[in-house]
Amino acid sequence: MTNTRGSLSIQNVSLSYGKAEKRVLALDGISFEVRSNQFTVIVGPSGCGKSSLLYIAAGLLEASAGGVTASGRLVEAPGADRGMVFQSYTLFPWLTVRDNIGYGLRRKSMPAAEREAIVARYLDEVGLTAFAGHYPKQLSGGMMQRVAIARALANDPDILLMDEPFGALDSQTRHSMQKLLLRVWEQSQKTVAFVTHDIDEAILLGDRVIVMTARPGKVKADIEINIPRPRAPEIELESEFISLKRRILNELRGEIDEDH
Amino acid sequence: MSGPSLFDLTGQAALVTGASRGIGEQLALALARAGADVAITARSPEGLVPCAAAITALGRKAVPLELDLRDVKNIGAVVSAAVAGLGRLDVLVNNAGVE
Repeated sequence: MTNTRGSLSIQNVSLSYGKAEKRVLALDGISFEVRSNQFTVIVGPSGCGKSSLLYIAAGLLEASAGGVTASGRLVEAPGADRGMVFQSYTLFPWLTVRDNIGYGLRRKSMPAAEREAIVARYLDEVGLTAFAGHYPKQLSGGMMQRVAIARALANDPDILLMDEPFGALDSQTRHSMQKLLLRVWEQSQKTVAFVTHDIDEAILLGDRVIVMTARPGKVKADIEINIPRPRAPEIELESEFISLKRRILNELRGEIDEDH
Repeated sequence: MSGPSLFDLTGQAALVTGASRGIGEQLALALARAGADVAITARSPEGLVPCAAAITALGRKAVPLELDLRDVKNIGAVVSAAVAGLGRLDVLVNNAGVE
Protein backbone atom coordinates (compact mmCIF):
# COMPACT_ATOMS: atom_id res chain seq x y z
CA MET A 1 0.00 0.00 0.00
CA THR A 2 1.39 3.41 -0.89
CA ASN A 3 1.51 5.95 1.87
CA THR A 4 -0.84 8.76 0.91
CA ARG A 5 -1.30 9.96 4.49
CA GLY A 6 -0.40 13.62 4.64
CA SER A 7 -0.26 14.06 0.89
CA LEU A 8 -2.19 16.83 -0.79
CA SER A 9 -3.24 16.74 -4.41
CA ILE A 10 -4.51 19.89 -6.14
CA GLN A 11 -6.31 18.77 -9.28
CA ASN A 12 -7.20 21.30 -11.95
CA VAL A 13 -8.69 23.75 -9.45
CA SER A 14 -10.47 26.82 -10.79
CA LEU A 15 -12.29 29.47 -8.81
CA SER A 16 -14.50 32.27 -9.97
CA TYR A 17 -16.75 34.61 -8.04
CA GLY A 18 -18.98 37.64 -8.47
CA LYS A 19 -22.19 37.98 -10.42
CA ALA A 20 -22.75 38.14 -14.16
CA GLU A 21 -20.66 40.80 -15.90
CA LYS A 22 -18.59 41.40 -12.74
CA ARG A 23 -17.54 37.74 -12.61
CA VAL A 24 -13.86 37.31 -11.85
CA LEU A 25 -11.74 34.25 -12.61
CA ALA A 26 -9.42 33.98 -9.59
CA LEU A 27 -7.80 30.58 -10.13
CA ASP A 28 -7.40 28.96 -13.51
CA GLY A 29 -6.76 25.22 -13.62
CA ILE A 30 -4.16 24.82 -10.87
CA SER A 31 -2.62 21.37 -10.44
CA PHE A 32 0.25 20.19 -8.24
CA GLU A 33 1.04 17.47 -5.75
CA VAL A 34 2.39 18.00 -2.25
CA ARG A 35 4.16 14.90 -0.99
CA SER A 36 3.83 13.68 2.59
CA ASN A 37 6.21 15.49 4.95
CA GLN A 38 7.11 18.10 2.33
CA PHE A 39 7.20 21.81 3.18
CA THR A 40 5.71 23.54 0.13
CA VAL A 41 5.57 27.31 -0.11
CA ILE A 42 3.23 29.12 -2.50
CA VAL A 43 4.24 32.65 -3.56
CA GLY A 44 2.58 35.02 -5.97
CA PRO A 45 1.54 38.63 -6.51
CA SER A 46 -1.28 39.89 -4.31
CA GLY A 47 -4.68 38.93 -5.65
CA CYS A 48 -3.35 35.83 -7.44
CA GLY A 49 -5.62 33.58 -5.41
CA LYS A 50 -2.91 31.82 -3.39
CA SER A 51 -4.84 32.16 -0.15
CA SER A 52 -8.05 31.01 -1.85
CA LEU A 53 -6.24 27.89 -2.97
CA LEU A 54 -5.32 27.14 0.64
CA TYR A 55 -8.90 27.75 1.75
CA ILE A 56 -10.13 25.28 -0.88
CA ALA A 57 -7.67 22.69 0.48
CA ALA A 58 -8.98 23.42 3.97
CA GLY A 59 -12.56 22.78 2.79
CA LEU A 60 -13.58 26.33 3.71
CA LEU A 61 -14.13 27.52 0.16
CA GLU A 62 -15.61 25.56 -2.72
CA ALA A 63 -13.74 25.29 -6.01
CA SER A 64 -15.75 26.23 -9.10
CA ALA A 65 -14.09 23.34 -10.94
CA GLY A 66 -11.60 20.63 -10.10
CA GLY A 67 -10.90 19.40 -6.60
CA VAL A 68 -8.43 18.65 -3.85
CA THR A 69 -7.65 15.35 -2.19
CA ALA A 70 -5.97 15.16 1.20
CA SER A 71 -4.42 11.81 2.14
CA GLY A 72 -6.19 10.39 -0.91
CA ARG A 73 -9.69 11.54 0.12
CA LEU A 74 -11.68 14.25 -1.64
CA VAL A 75 -11.93 17.42 0.47
CA GLU A 76 -15.57 18.39 0.97
CA ALA A 77 -15.50 20.10 4.38
CA PRO A 78 -13.00 21.18 7.04
CA GLY A 79 -11.50 18.26 8.96
CA ALA A 80 -9.19 17.66 11.91
CA ASP A 81 -6.68 16.06 9.51
CA ARG A 82 -5.94 19.56 8.15
CA GLY A 83 -4.87 22.29 10.59
CA MET A 84 -5.11 25.92 9.54
CA VAL A 85 -3.14 28.96 10.73
CA PHE A 86 -4.25 32.39 9.51
CA GLN A 87 -2.47 35.74 9.35
CA SER A 88 -4.32 37.11 12.34
CA TYR A 89 -6.19 35.95 15.43
CA THR A 90 -8.69 33.03 15.21
CA LEU A 91 -8.01 32.46 18.90
CA PHE A 92 -11.10 32.24 21.05
CA PRO A 93 -11.07 35.46 23.11
CA TRP A 94 -12.98 33.89 26.01
CA LEU A 95 -10.44 31.11 26.54
CA THR A 96 -6.99 31.25 28.13
CA VAL A 97 -3.88 30.38 26.14
CA ARG A 98 -3.91 26.90 27.71
CA ASP A 99 -7.57 26.28 26.84
CA ASN A 100 -7.15 27.65 23.31
CA ILE A 101 -4.35 25.16 22.66
CA GLY A 102 -6.30 22.29 24.24
CA TYR A 103 -9.64 23.10 22.62
CA GLY A 104 -9.49 20.60 19.78
CA LEU A 105 -8.23 17.87 22.11
CA ARG A 106 -11.12 18.49 24.50
CA ARG A 107 -13.52 18.09 21.61
CA LYS A 108 -11.94 14.73 20.80
CA SER A 109 -12.81 13.71 24.41
CA MET A 110 -9.15 13.01 25.19
CA PRO A 111 -8.55 12.15 28.87
CA ALA A 112 -7.56 15.24 30.87
CA ALA A 113 -4.11 14.01 31.90
CA GLU A 114 -3.13 13.20 28.32
CA ARG A 115 -4.51 16.49 27.08
CA GLU A 116 -2.68 18.50 29.73
CA ALA A 117 0.59 16.78 28.83
CA ILE A 118 0.21 17.67 25.15
CA VAL A 119 -0.77 21.27 25.94
CA ALA A 120 2.22 21.60 28.28
CA ARG A 121 4.53 20.25 25.58
CA TYR A 122 3.39 22.76 22.96
CA LEU A 123 3.30 25.65 25.46
CA ASP A 124 6.94 24.87 26.09
CA GLU A 125 7.68 24.41 22.39
CA VAL A 126 6.49 27.94 21.59
CA GLY A 127 7.93 29.43 24.79
CA LEU A 128 4.63 30.45 26.38
CA THR A 129 4.51 28.30 29.51
CA ALA A 130 4.53 31.43 31.67
CA PHE A 131 1.50 32.78 29.77
CA ALA A 132 -0.71 29.67 29.98
CA GLY A 133 -3.33 31.46 32.07
CA HIS A 134 -3.40 34.66 30.00
CA TYR A 135 -6.20 35.61 27.62
CA PRO A 136 -5.50 36.45 23.95
CA LYS A 137 -6.12 40.19 24.45
CA GLN A 138 -3.25 40.24 26.98
CA LEU A 139 -0.77 38.96 24.37
CA SER A 140 1.31 40.64 21.63
CA GLY A 141 0.70 39.76 17.97
CA GLY A 142 3.71 37.45 17.86
CA MET A 143 2.57 35.63 20.98
CA MET A 144 -0.93 35.18 19.54
CA GLN A 145 0.55 33.61 16.42
CA ARG A 146 2.64 31.30 18.59
CA VAL A 147 -0.56 30.20 20.32
CA ALA A 148 -2.26 29.67 16.93
CA ILE A 149 0.65 27.49 15.77
CA ALA A 150 0.72 25.55 19.04
CA ARG A 151 -3.03 24.99 18.78
CA ALA A 152 -2.76 23.71 15.22
CA LEU A 153 0.13 21.36 16.12
CA ALA A 154 -1.49 20.08 19.34
CA ASN A 155 -4.33 18.65 17.26
CA ASP A 156 -1.74 16.57 15.40
CA PRO A 157 -3.07 17.19 11.89
CA ASP A 158 -1.56 15.31 8.95
CA ILE A 159 -1.37 18.55 6.98
CA LEU A 160 -0.74 22.09 8.16
CA LEU A 161 -2.14 24.90 5.99
CA MET A 162 -0.58 28.27 6.79
CA ASP A 163 -1.87 31.50 5.25
CA GLU A 164 0.77 34.25 5.65
CA PRO A 165 1.02 33.40 9.35
CA PHE A 166 3.78 35.96 9.97
CA GLY A 167 2.55 38.60 7.52
CA ALA A 168 1.24 40.98 10.18
CA LEU A 169 4.32 40.84 12.43
CA ASP A 170 7.23 43.26 12.62
CA SER A 171 10.40 41.96 11.00
CA GLN A 172 12.22 41.05 14.21
CA THR A 173 9.27 39.04 15.53
CA ARG A 174 8.86 37.48 12.11
CA HIS A 175 12.45 36.25 12.15
CA SER A 176 12.10 34.66 15.55
CA MET A 177 8.83 33.02 14.42
CA GLN A 178 10.54 31.62 11.31
CA LYS A 179 13.27 30.13 13.48
CA LEU A 180 10.64 28.63 15.77
CA LEU A 181 8.70 27.15 12.88
CA LEU A 182 11.89 25.69 11.35
CA ARG A 183 12.79 24.05 14.65
CA VAL A 184 9.29 22.69 15.27
CA TRP A 185 8.83 21.50 11.70
CA GLU A 186 12.24 19.81 11.51
CA GLN A 187 11.08 17.68 14.47
CA SER A 188 7.48 16.99 13.43
CA GLN A 189 8.02 16.79 9.63
CA LYS A 190 4.37 17.40 8.94
CA THR A 191 3.18 18.17 5.44
CA VAL A 192 2.97 21.96 5.19
CA ALA A 193 1.42 24.19 2.54
CA PHE A 194 2.52 27.73 3.37
CA VAL A 195 1.40 30.90 1.58
CA THR A 196 3.54 34.02 1.70
CA HIS A 197 4.53 37.01 -0.44
CA ASP A 198 7.97 37.12 1.23
CA ILE A 199 10.55 35.43 -1.02
CA ASP A 200 13.23 35.19 1.69
CA GLU A 201 10.74 33.46 3.94
CA ALA A 202 9.75 31.07 1.12
CA ILE A 203 13.35 29.96 0.46
CA LEU A 204 14.29 29.80 4.14
CA LEU A 205 11.36 27.54 5.04
CA GLY A 206 10.50 25.55 1.94
CA ASP A 207 11.56 22.29 0.34
CA ARG A 208 9.92 23.70 -2.72
CA VAL A 209 8.50 27.02 -3.89
CA ILE A 210 5.53 27.24 -6.25
CA VAL A 211 5.33 30.60 -8.02
CA MET A 212 1.89 31.68 -9.18
CA THR A 213 0.98 34.12 -11.94
CA ALA A 214 -1.07 37.27 -11.42
CA ARG A 215 -4.83 36.81 -11.62
CA PRO A 216 -6.14 34.48 -12.86
CA GLY A 217 -3.70 32.42 -10.80
CA LYS A 218 -1.88 29.58 -12.55
CA VAL A 219 1.29 27.70 -11.64
CA LYS A 220 4.18 29.60 -13.24
CA ALA A 221 7.20 27.81 -11.78
CA ASP A 222 7.86 24.96 -9.39
CA ILE A 223 11.32 25.30 -7.82
CA GLU A 224 13.10 22.78 -5.58
CA ILE A 225 15.00 24.29 -2.64
CA ASN A 226 17.86 21.90 -2.04
CA ILE A 227 19.49 23.80 0.81
CA PRO A 228 20.35 21.31 3.56
CA ARG A 229 18.59 21.34 6.93
CA PRO A 230 18.67 22.29 9.70
CA ARG A 231 18.51 25.81 8.31
CA ALA A 232 18.98 29.14 10.02
CA PRO A 233 18.23 32.68 8.75
CA GLU A 234 21.97 33.18 8.14
CA ILE A 235 21.65 31.11 4.93
CA GLU A 236 20.09 34.24 3.38
CA LEU A 237 23.65 35.49 2.79
CA GLU A 238 24.82 32.40 0.92
CA SER A 239 25.22 32.36 -2.86
CA GLU A 240 22.85 29.43 -3.37
CA PHE A 241 20.15 31.32 -1.51
CA ILE A 242 20.77 34.50 -3.47
CA SER A 243 20.64 32.75 -6.85
CA LEU A 244 17.33 31.08 -5.90
CA LYS A 245 16.03 34.47 -4.83
CA ARG A 246 17.04 36.01 -8.15
CA ARG A 247 15.30 33.21 -10.04
CA ILE A 248 12.04 33.58 -8.08
CA LEU A 249 12.15 37.38 -8.35
CA ASN A 250 12.53 37.09 -12.12
CA GLU A 251 9.51 34.78 -12.31
CA LEU A 252 7.49 37.23 -10.22
CA ARG A 253 8.71 40.38 -11.94
CA GLY A 254 7.11 39.33 -15.21
CA GLU A 255 3.81 39.00 -13.35
CA ILE A 256 3.87 42.31 -11.53
CA ASP A 257 4.86 44.24 -14.68
CA GLU A 258 1.84 42.93 -16.54
CA ASP A 259 -0.33 44.83 -14.06
CA HIS A 260 1.03 48.23 -15.09
CA MET B 1 -12.37 26.11 30.81
CA SER B 2 -15.00 28.84 30.73
CA GLY B 3 -18.43 29.44 32.26
CA PRO B 4 -21.61 28.28 30.59
CA SER B 5 -22.83 30.36 27.69
CA LEU B 6 -25.65 32.80 28.43
CA PHE B 7 -27.95 31.14 25.90
CA ASP B 8 -28.30 27.56 24.75
CA LEU B 9 -28.95 27.51 21.02
CA THR B 10 -28.06 23.87 20.44
CA GLY B 11 -29.80 22.56 17.36
CA GLN B 12 -30.74 26.03 16.13
CA ALA B 13 -29.50 27.82 13.05
CA ALA B 14 -28.56 31.48 12.67
CA LEU B 15 -27.76 33.85 9.80
CA VAL B 16 -25.39 36.76 10.44
CA THR B 17 -24.78 39.36 7.75
CA GLY B 18 -21.46 41.22 7.56
CA ALA B 19 -19.63 38.50 9.49
CA SER B 20 -16.15 38.80 7.99
CA ARG B 21 -14.87 41.05 10.78
CA GLY B 22 -15.62 43.07 13.87
CA ILE B 23 -18.93 42.80 15.66
CA GLY B 24 -20.54 40.56 13.03
CA GLU B 25 -17.70 38.08 13.27
CA GLN B 26 -17.81 38.03 17.07
CA LEU B 27 -21.61 37.68 17.04
CA ALA B 28 -21.32 34.69 14.69
CA LEU B 29 -18.73 33.14 17.01
CA ALA B 30 -20.88 33.82 20.09
CA LEU B 31 -23.87 32.12 18.43
CA ALA B 32 -21.70 29.13 17.53
CA ARG B 33 -20.35 29.04 21.06
CA ALA B 34 -23.95 28.90 22.31
CA GLY B 35 -24.49 25.84 20.12
CA ALA B 36 -25.96 27.24 16.90
CA ASP B 37 -24.93 26.40 13.37
CA VAL B 38 -24.27 29.68 11.56
CA ALA B 39 -24.62 30.95 8.01
CA ILE B 40 -22.41 33.99 7.55
CA THR B 41 -22.44 36.52 4.74
CA ALA B 42 -20.12 39.23 3.46
CA ARG B 43 -19.34 40.87 0.14
CA SER B 44 -16.07 38.95 -0.16
CA PRO B 45 -16.35 35.17 0.27
CA GLU B 46 -12.64 34.99 1.12
CA GLY B 47 -13.08 37.38 4.02
CA LEU B 48 -15.44 34.89 5.64
CA VAL B 49 -12.94 32.08 5.76
CA PRO B 50 -11.33 32.80 9.17
CA CYS B 51 -14.76 33.17 10.79
CA ALA B 52 -15.97 29.96 9.13
CA ALA B 53 -12.83 28.18 10.36
CA ALA B 54 -13.42 29.37 13.91
CA ILE B 55 -17.08 28.27 13.85
CA THR B 56 -15.99 24.88 12.54
CA ALA B 57 -13.35 24.64 15.28
CA LEU B 58 -16.13 25.17 17.81
CA GLY B 59 -17.78 22.05 16.43
CA ARG B 60 -20.62 23.88 14.67
CA LYS B 61 -21.50 24.00 11.02
CA ALA B 62 -20.59 27.17 9.10
CA VAL B 63 -22.10 28.14 5.75
CA PRO B 64 -20.20 31.09 4.25
CA LEU B 65 -22.21 32.95 1.61
CA GLU B 66 -21.30 35.85 -0.65
CA LEU B 67 -23.83 38.67 -0.35
CA ASP B 68 -23.78 42.35 -1.18
CA LEU B 69 -26.94 43.66 0.49
CA ARG B 70 -27.21 46.41 -2.14
CA ASP B 71 -28.03 43.55 -4.53
CA VAL B 72 -31.56 43.28 -3.18
CA LYS B 73 -32.60 40.65 -5.72
CA ASN B 74 -29.95 38.22 -4.41
CA ILE B 75 -31.09 38.28 -0.79
CA GLY B 76 -33.76 35.61 -1.32
CA ALA B 77 -31.29 33.26 -2.95
CA VAL B 78 -28.82 33.69 -0.07
CA VAL B 79 -31.53 32.94 2.52
CA SER B 80 -32.52 29.84 0.53
CA ALA B 81 -28.87 28.75 0.43
CA ALA B 82 -28.59 29.23 4.20
CA VAL B 83 -31.72 27.13 4.79
CA ALA B 84 -30.45 24.50 2.35
CA GLY B 85 -27.08 24.37 4.11
CA LEU B 86 -28.34 24.33 7.69
CA GLY B 87 -31.74 22.64 7.28
CA ARG B 88 -33.56 25.46 9.12
CA LEU B 89 -33.20 29.07 10.20
CA ASP B 90 -34.15 30.37 13.66
CA VAL B 91 -32.10 33.51 14.24
CA LEU B 92 -31.30 36.47 11.97
CA VAL B 93 -28.70 39.10 12.85
CA ASN B 94 -28.94 42.07 10.49
CA ASN B 95 -25.46 43.32 11.21
CA ALA B 96 -24.15 44.38 7.79
CA GLY B 97 -24.37 48.00 6.76
CA VAL B 98 -23.15 49.35 10.10
CA GLU B 99 -19.97 51.29 9.46
